[in-house]
Amino acid sequence: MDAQGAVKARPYVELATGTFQTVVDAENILGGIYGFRAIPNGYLIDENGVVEYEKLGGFDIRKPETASIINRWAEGAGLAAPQNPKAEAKDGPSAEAIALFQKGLELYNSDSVGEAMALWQQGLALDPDNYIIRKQIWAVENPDRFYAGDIDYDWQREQTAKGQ
Amino acid sequence: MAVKASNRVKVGDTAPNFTLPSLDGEPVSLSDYRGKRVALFMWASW
Repeated sequence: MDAQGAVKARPYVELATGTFQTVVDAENILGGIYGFRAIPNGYLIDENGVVEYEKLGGFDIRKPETASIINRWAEGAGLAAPQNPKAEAKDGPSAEAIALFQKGLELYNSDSVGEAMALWQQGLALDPDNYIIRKQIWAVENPDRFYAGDIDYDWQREQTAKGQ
Repeated sequence: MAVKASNRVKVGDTAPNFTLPSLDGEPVSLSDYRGKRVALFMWASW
């Protein structure tokens, strides 16, 4: 889920232990078909392809509580639905906003940064809680906050508080 | 103006299939794992 693609994702995958398949979704395809506006998310799917558990937001495999949910599920225990009223109350993201995000990404990748930003801003105006679009705008405007060293979550919270 | 919302996947739904490239560019589909239990995570470097 990162517009920078495999080059950016690979070092994180190599640091992780265990084996798992990683796929790269630079265009937020999954945001559209699963209907989410922010990450990290998790879906636990049974043998028949049916979703047994879903958690939007805060499903971070680095957190002990997330690891515990997955371990219990792997052992076959039943899982309670997550307490996530804010995310549960919402519909999926605006399909038009995602389309604008994807069109903007094409422009961005052909070096039309200004036009790309204009489309992303339009998309964000349609769906202000879409943090995949919001973070893409932030990352282009403030590359030092995103692409140098650790992720600056405090800065991101400040931006949100300021309504940026 | 009405904003068309995309569907949101919920517990009990069939997980929508997708095909996306691996880190090496090989196509991978969720349906490749039918018959197995799958833990699907979405994460980013930011």
